Amino acid sequence: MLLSCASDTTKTPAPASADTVAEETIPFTCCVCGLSEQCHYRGTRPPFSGFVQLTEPGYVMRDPFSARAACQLPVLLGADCTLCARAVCQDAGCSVFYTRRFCLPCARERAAEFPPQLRDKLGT
Amino acid sequence: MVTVRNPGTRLTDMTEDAAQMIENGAQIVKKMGLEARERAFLTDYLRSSECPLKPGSEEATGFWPFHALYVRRLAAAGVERGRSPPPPKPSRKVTEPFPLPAYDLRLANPLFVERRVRDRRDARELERQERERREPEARRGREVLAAYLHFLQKQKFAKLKKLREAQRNLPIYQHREEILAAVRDNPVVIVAGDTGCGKSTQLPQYLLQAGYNSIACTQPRRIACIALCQRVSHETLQQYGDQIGYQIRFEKRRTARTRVVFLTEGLLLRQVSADPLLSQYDVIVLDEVHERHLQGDFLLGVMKCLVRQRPELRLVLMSATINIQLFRDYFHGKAPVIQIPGRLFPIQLNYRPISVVEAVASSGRLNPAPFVRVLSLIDDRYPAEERGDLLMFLSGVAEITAVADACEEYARQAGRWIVLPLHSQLSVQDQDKVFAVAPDGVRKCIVSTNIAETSVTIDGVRFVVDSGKVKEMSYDSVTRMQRLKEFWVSQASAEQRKGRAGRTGPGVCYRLYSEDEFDMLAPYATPEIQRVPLESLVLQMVALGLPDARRFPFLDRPAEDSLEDAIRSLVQQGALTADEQLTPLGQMLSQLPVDVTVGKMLVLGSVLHQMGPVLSAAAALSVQTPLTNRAFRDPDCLANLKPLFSSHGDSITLLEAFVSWLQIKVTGKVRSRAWCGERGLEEQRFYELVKLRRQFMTIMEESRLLPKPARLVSAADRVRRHGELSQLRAARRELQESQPRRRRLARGPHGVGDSTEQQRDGDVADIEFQMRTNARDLQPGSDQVFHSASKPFVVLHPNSVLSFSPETLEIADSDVRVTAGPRPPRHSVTSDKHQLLAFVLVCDRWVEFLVSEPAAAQQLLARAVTLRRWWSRLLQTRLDNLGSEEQHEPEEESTLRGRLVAALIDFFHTDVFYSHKRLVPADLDGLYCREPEAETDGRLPPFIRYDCLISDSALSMEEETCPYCDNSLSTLPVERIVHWIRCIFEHKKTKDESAAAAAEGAATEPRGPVCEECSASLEGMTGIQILRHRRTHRPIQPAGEG
Ligand SMILES: [Zn+2]
Ligand SMILES: [Zn+2]
Repeated sequence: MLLSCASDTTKTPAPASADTVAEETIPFTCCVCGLSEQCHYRGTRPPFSGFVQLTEPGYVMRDPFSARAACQLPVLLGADCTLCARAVCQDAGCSVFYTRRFCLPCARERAAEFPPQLRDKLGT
Repeated sequence: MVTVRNPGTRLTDMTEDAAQMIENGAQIVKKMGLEARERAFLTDYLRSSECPLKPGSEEATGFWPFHALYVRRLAAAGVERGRSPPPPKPSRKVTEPFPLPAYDLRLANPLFVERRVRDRRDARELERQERERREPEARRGREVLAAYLHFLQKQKFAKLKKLREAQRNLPIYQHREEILAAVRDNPVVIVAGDTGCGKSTQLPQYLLQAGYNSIACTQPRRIACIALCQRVSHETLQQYGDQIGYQIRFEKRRTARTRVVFLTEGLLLRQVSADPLLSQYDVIVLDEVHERHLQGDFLLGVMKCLVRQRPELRLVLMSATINIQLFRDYFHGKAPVIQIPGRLFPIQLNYRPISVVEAVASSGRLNPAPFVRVLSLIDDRYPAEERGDLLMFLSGVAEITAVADACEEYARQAGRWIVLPLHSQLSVQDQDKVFAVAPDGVRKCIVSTNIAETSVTIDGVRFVVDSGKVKEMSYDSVTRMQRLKEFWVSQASAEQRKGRAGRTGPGVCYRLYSEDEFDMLAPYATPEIQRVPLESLVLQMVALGLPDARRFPFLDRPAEDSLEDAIRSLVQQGALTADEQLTPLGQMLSQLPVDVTVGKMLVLGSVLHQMGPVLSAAAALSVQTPLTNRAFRDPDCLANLKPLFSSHGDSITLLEAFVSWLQIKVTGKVRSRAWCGERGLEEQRFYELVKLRRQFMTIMEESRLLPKPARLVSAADRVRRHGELSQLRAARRELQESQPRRRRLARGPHGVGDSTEQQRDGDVADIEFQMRTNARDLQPGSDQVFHSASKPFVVLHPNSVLSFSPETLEIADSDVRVTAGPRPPRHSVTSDKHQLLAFVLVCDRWVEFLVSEPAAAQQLLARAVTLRRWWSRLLQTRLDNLGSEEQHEPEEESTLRGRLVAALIDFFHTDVFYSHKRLVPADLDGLYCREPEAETDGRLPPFIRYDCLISDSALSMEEETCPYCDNSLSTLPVERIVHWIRCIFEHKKTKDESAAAAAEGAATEPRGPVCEECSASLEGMTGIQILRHRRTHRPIQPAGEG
């Protein structure tokens, strides 16, 4: 027989934390490497990054390695591929950016149409 | 004009200044060249509140070197700066981006920089934006800034990706789904995996991601709580913000939003006492359960009860892959076990037993030869180009020194080895040396205690030598003494040691014992619960509301004796009543994470306002004595020490020595080291003492037994100050192990420590209290043989101060009065000069006092009982007041304390003639001749049982009036005692006392302490000072001077 631990069971349980107003996040998963993160903003003008803006509608995270601040470096996780519209991360092994975002599988298919300086980056 | 801005400058002045400066600046800029204009533009931009680079940060200062590089690179590529082709308008609809423009590296950057216009109607803002789009310096500046920010954010992304890869590469990652499914479906789950599998850092994250909302993770060491909280916050990218916290005894980082909290085992137990169901948590993770610490084992038992009462609660036990069966059986095989295989390379095992002849050197110490032989064996067998260091496990510091010296000797000849000792008493700098990488062709030979078994991990170890021995504290419940003793290790430890050779590649292990001996080893180390005194544990149980410690579901039952001993000792200490209920003192003690005897000293010190000396004395009794053997053997040392000897015994002598040392330190006139040397004192012990004293003080503050200082100390400060660096470092190492492929570890931010402060492992509760017997238990007998309640015929240690001045404890012939009494002659020596060494007011069934005059005896008894009543009332008041935030001591408490102190001092100077003897069990048999009468018993305070020894008629009294209240007294002794107790307790004065007080005109301060011998005022003196003063009237000749 186990003995009872309770000496006073009349105590009411602690109230559930009322304000769990955690910032809204947007899920992001790279179609090539599978990197899966929650980001804080999707678009070209992150509200938290001051004068820094984007030319592509990207998935943007607040700088995860610095303390929260009103103005923070936006860390771009990636964006949707211009050609196939799948989300892809900004890793050089997953996508290439030149005026727009291309996932590497798409970019390889159209490698001939990229400036020659970029072709070796496509891994073709 | 630039004015000096002193703090008195008003804000308006400053803005005017600034406006002036800007206007001046604008005029200057016009005259500058393009390059200077760009620089000015950028400087302005970098300072703006819209710039994500914090001014002065590493990232901000890195901009200008980047700028220089960028300019050069574009010049080399022949690209004109500030004329980047316009980026296409961002649009989601474009699916056909081809043809792409000709190559321009600026088009490979998705970031651009442009001042935002907050209000489109604001003409000035629009105008400025337009100007910055047009002006060449602005175009150039924005372009390079965009390139820099892109570079930075790419770095951060790479860091993030690396972190995620490291997490996925951890062995535990393969079991993520399995673990989560098991936790979902079972109330108790056991996760077993070795250091480096990532369980401590990853499992809480998995639970968090799976949606559990309130997770408690316990750790045996509090430094690990902070480190894990930081690590997990980092790994979750602060995404959960303040949802990851920690809570340790002295501080917390925890809010209403915290979802994962790392806390010590002790703290979770405290939470159980406030909330028995721990309803605030939905998952409880107990980490490192295999360590089998007292607290951990206890917590496990409590959790087992809790799981029964809260079926929805989830309990996860995390352990190394040691003795998993024990935990499985503890939950009746119902808890699924998930084993995470560690990363271990094959290890070749060699048994090389040491012959009996060779085991001990002629000096009687350990013979290092077999250890040295392994070095030469390695040199013979393995080419020097093949890297790999050697790790030797020895039992203690003396053994390490012997072996390290001999290896050093060999290393000098061979020239291929660097010998490095490693144990917890080394300075941080010396400990750190073992992590340095040896030059090519040279191997490190690390000679270590079991500290390198689990706590410290050294990369690059290929060879392990295991002596098979370990030193552990062992406790003798009869003598109540703890001491360090050498034991054989367990098989689990031996395997752990072996495993250290295979962490970075295939390895070799040499066991300096035979395979048969290995087979004889205990499979697992003895858990702490079976090695240490259990007072604190039992006290905690009772305080938690567990009615009977004997029925607790222990993982491993402690010996029945040690449990009973603990209960008996707690009753004796007054922490429990005879029927094992918690007393107010017990309640206070249960809140102090220290040994019960030390705790009691601290509580007494707090209640009697003697915290300073008591803290020092408690610390002094808890560290090894600074008095070395030399102090007593060397006549010079002894002569120098003599002035510090106190006739009150060793505790006060230690205190004197400490205070003198402190004075030496403070005045700085004499070098304290030399001062210690001349007296045979070990200075290191004083430093330990100082540290421990500080820890005790913090504990007392935390328990509100001492007022808290206004300034709060951060964890970092404390870590630095308390020299917990080694722990912090070990914890950090452990965490870094979970990141693969880390060659060498960077020095932590607290790289420099006070070398004089020795490192001490573990929590305050772990501190090894080595002195457990104490003079307070001792009662003088005859011929310098002493009897204590638990042990008769104790002989004083030859190094005890009292052994040096035996006459302190003897009674001078002139003080002896021979009385003709009913007792046999051996008891008839009565004297009022028997030294009461301790505050033993109650005889506790082992010592009998015989007082020749019945009236005096009754008075004495009444006063003793009153003392006890005041004392418990004071304790209770103190306890009641603990919760209040009131800064000042309530009046009731100070009045009570004043009375108690005065009465105590009076009591010590009672002139009552008595004899005493130790009672043996045979005496006890016939001692209680009858049951006490319930009626009188009920009116007496709980400390005395009256009327059960001899019948009342033997003590019939003459008629008398009460010296306190003038009423006539009953002839029945018991009535008389009850009456006196009431009178004294109500603080009435005898007529004599009132008359004396009136005569001296000291009526304003009732019973203001005055020395009876010389009438000097004792006002404002501490208890010790008063005793000291009174002693001056009764000089004691120091030994050797008569
Ligand atoms: Zn990717
Ligand atoms: Zn694509």
